[in-house]
Amino acid sequence: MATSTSAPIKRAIVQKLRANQSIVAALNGGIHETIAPRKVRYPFVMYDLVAAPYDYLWGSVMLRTTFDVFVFAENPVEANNLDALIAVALNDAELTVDGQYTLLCRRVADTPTGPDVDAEGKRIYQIGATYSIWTDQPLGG
Amino acid sequence: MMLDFNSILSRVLESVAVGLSEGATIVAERARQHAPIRKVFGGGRRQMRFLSVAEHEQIKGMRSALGLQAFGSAGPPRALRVASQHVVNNFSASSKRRQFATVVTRGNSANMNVPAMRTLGSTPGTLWSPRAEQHLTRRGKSELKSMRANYKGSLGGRLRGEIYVVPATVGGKTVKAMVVSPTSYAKYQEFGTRHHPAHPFMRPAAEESGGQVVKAVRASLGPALAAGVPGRGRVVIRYTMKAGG
Repeated sequence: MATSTSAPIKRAIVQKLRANQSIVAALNGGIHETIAPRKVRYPFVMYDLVAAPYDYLWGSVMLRTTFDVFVFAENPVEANNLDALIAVALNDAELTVDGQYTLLCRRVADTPTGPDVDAEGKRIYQIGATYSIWTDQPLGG
Repeated sequence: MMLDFNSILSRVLESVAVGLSEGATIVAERARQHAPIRKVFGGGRRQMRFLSVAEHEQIKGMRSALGLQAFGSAGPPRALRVASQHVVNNFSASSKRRQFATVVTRGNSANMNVPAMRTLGSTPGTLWSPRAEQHLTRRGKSELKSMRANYKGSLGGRLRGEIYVVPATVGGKTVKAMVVSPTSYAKYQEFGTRHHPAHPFMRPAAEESGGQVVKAVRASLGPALAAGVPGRGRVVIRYTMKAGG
């Protein structure tokens, strides 16, 4: 069997977020990878893979992935509240990753970004953090 | 035997600083490789660039050895000397090139003061490009005309050109080195925005170079420890990275 990639980790993140009813109820625009469509409603969550180096060990492969998870909202309070919910859901979470064991899922840095203005002239707040997710899998599946 | 721990510690920290500075240089180099570049050329992903001075000299030497006509006998044009290696333009000596040159110079006379841009069109033969297949896109032409993307006489390359290393300093028992990308839009590239997907380049560089940084620090530590500590010692190196705004 081939070595499993970072794709199942992305799925596991989304599953974890969707399993949290408070987050789902608060999100009008859903969860998106890398960039959201233009007309999506606020607030929404965007996640993005930053880096995923492979560490080949004796008999296993460790993936040290880094993800950014951002909330985009029209007011900072809403953005911060959602970000706090995401932190609770993801920090030290047991992710169910296909073909891999989760060693660690931790919020490692809050990400400094200022307000932005979208295509319709609305002021948008982007609040989020970087999460470090380490997984392990047997070499060769 | 009495061991002077303070002097050992200071020697160790100084050595770590040397190794860490070296490590930071590795990270910076990797960040430059990862830094996104403007898409100003049409025709696929292959990029054209000026010949470097070394390449220019090599070709010159080869042509001379083969008895071929001298190429660029006056030495590499100034544009080649100032253009950063990854940037970027080449035009075959065709009518299209001359046409383009007219557009550039007529559009903005200030362009004539920039050596790279002057070289683009005005002096045939200053650019040597046997496989010049690519031409600037509309956006590329516009950016060249407006000089918005002009950086050190080249088109683009500002983000990667401005990355620099702050050498390691010792503060108490902590040694800190920094790799800085001071460009105003660096954080938008690194983290993305509502309109723009992220193109992370600093953090992947740090993640990928972690092993090399630890290796550099370990290598610099060896002699320092060997000189002062008899027997066996154990040094644990922790490597952390921090993103700041």
